[in-house]
Amino acid sequence: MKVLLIEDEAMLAQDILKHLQTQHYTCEWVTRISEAEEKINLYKYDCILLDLALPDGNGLSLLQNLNQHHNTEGVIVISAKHTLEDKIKGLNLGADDYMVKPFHLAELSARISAVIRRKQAENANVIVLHDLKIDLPSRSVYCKAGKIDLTRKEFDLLIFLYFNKNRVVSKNAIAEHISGDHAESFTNLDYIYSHIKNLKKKLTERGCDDYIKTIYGIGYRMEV
Amino acid sequence: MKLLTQTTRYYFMLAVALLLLSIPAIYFTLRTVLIHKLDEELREHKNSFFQSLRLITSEKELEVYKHFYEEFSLKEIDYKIEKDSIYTIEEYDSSERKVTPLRILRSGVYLNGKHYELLIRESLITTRDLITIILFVKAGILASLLTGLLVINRKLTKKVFNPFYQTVSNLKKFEIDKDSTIPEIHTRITEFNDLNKVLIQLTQRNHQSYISQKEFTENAAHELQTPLAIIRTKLDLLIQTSEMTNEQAELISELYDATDRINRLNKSLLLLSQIENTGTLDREPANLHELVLKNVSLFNEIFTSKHIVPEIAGGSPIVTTNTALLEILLTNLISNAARFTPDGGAVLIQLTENELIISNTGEPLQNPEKIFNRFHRESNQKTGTGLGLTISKQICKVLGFDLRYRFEQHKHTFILRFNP
Repeated sequence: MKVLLIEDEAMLAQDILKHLQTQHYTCEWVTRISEAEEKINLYKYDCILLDLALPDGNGLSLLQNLNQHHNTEGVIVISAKHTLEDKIKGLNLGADDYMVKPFHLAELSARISAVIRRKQAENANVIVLHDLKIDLPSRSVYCKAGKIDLTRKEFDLLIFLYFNKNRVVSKNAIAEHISGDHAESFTNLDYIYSHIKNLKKKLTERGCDDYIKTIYGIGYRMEV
Repeated sequence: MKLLTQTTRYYFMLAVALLLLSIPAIYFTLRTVLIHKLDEELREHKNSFFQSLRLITSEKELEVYKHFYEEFSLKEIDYKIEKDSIYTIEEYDSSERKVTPLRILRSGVYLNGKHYELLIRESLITTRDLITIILFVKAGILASLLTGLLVINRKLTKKVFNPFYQTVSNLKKFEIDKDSTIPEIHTRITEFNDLNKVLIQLTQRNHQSYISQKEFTENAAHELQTPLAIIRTKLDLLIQTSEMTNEQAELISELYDATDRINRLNKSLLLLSQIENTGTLDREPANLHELVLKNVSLFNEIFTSKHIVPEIAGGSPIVTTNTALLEILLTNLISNAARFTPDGGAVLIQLTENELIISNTGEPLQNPEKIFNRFHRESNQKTGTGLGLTISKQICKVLGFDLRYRFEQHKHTFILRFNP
């Protein structure tokens, strides 16, 4: 999987690169729209991460170009711009997703996986994990013993951990992923613990392996 | 008290004082002048008498003279009057039936070897009448002057002060976030023109500094996002490194929480400045009941964990407004109820055509008047940005709603009116 990162903030870009490399993505990084256009003309990418405020212009112009040339890359806008208008503008111009800085790297992985899967063929929508089968479009999970009934949040949690498999995902990233902006209403993150507990219970009750490990104090890791 | 009432009052006081002082002043001045004049007349009479006296040779002729000139009286005396004297006496006048003042000139006459006392009298009654008339006329003039002053002041209030009142009402209507300045007023009166100009400059400057302050908040929040993003990604990478001790893990977890708080604070600040910046808003009908249900479900986990069953009462009124902002508003209010209701408490949401009332049980606040202030937190409150209710209030301002807080019957109650 090849990812092109267009981001002018070096420190942030390097962290994203480091993170994506551990997830076995081939990642390239440019800081300008002009460089990005060169790269896109020469190579094929599965996903493009596009910052909007760039030294040589607004990333939206690149998005417009990609759209006009019917490029098939999935594009995720990563922007510091928070307004709904910007978001709508970006999505209207053909972006597949829009993330507002600051974001958790785990969230980024989940979004990239989702975008790439959406762009791929049908069969990519089913994740097979040993004896566990996750059907993304119908949001259902099967094990040897049959279908496992998960709540919406439990399902989201499972997918989120899967997209970040073998990596530690912080409670904070999980909270933000499943509660969005409302995460702040929770005085503590204990509810994450109870969601995880329920999920693990449902999986192990049906004879699945316990893939989800607790990392003391920080969060969880799905070990595959 | 109005400025004109105040000045008129001083004018009045001065006028009355002057009037009271001027009465004795005029009286005495006039009296002195008139008496002086009378005295001159008396002396002239005396001179003409002495001239006539030369022609009188006998006692008989003198009697005749006295008969023709009543004001003269001659009395034989046995001493000589050296010096003339003039004085005033009061005498009962039988024909007029009242006491009249008389001016008398007393002089000595030597005739046919005899000494006489000459008294020439002149009535002062006309002088007194004259003074009275003059005083009456003067009082009349003063009275009409005062009435005129009052009338003119009344008219002044309406006409001359009109630009002043106009400026004041413009200033009242001035909203620092909306209007760049107050309208200009043209008037011939220099003071009001100056006032208007100075106020225009003042409001312009205020508006400018308000705008730049707002921009600063927005830019600052914006600029903070990149370093925040870096801190977050660094933390995300840090937790991937080799096994951590429990102590390290706890420290990192606290760092995560603090970063989350800064992030939320930053987002709230941005949201606040965005709401303040919103221009014209798209409005569409929104079903309140549906929106409330949707927002309550967002916080189901909190409600359940606290053993609270939120109660929603009333119909499903339709409000035509900006739904995006209305949703943020409802989320904020319901999130508040979810966070601050104690375990086992009650949350009630009542809907009517014009009102949405959210109440929840709880302890009274220490500073209820500060509840909508930025960054105001009650002492027992640890989480939250301190901006939620400020944002709510701001949204209400933009949407033309009215939001109030009350504590009644042990319940925190927020009353949202759609058409205040």
